Amino acid sequence: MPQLTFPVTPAGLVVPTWIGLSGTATSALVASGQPITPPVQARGLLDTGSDVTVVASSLLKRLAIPIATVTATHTVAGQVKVNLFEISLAITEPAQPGSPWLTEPDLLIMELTTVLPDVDVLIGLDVLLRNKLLLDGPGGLFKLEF
Amino acid sequence: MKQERADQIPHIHQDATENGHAAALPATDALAIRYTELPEAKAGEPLAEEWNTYRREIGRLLAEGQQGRHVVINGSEIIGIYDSWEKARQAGLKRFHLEPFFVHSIRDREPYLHIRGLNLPCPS
Repeated sequence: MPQLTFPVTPAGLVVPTWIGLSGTATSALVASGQPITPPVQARGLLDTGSDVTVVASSLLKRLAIPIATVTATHTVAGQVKVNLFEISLAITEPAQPGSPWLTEPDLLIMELTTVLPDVDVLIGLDVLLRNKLLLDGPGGLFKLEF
Repeated sequence: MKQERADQIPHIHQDATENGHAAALPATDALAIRYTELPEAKAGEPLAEEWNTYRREIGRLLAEGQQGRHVVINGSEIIGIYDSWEKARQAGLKRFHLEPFFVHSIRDREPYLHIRGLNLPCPS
């Protein structure tokens, strides 16, 4: 089973992440002969407190990913509307050549309109529940198995 | 002294449980917003016209038994209804390419999306 091992950092469970057009959108663009925007690297943070993966607005704009749908959710301020986008997401360890890639080709994510200082992507339970996350607190390491 | 206090804690917790101080907590149901309570989109918001079309049509779609299927909307027009999200997205992409269009699961309740940054703001 492929696995990736990372150190626990002061920022948390940080993983090098790539964001790109979804597999479905890429196929449609290829079929119509249109150019494909390459994925961009981002700062990902594993977040078991989030149901859904969240991506910074700036990244979505940079990739020109079109909005897929909107929905409503609830905050302490009452109901709010949120924007959802379909993307592809990949995680690997670029410092170790030949590392495996954990890839989600078609992932429905929520736009993060608030700017977080050290994170571009919160990787939520929608991704984590499809994989194994092993946290070795005393050892200062965590492992993704997929 | 500190270690003695730390050693007492497990016993205090066990005693609380054994002496019936542990009340049954309410079940944590998946929270959601009923379709009749969906907020209206304001002009200028992304997919505002499509969202408001969905709000207007959702009652009829549910009455027709479309729950669980997926609707594609562009402007105020329902383009089609599909069995899966993937089929709906593919149909929309084929027609609109990367122009925005709206795909949504037809459901009577919109599940809450728990995001720690969004749902747990700093109380100050």
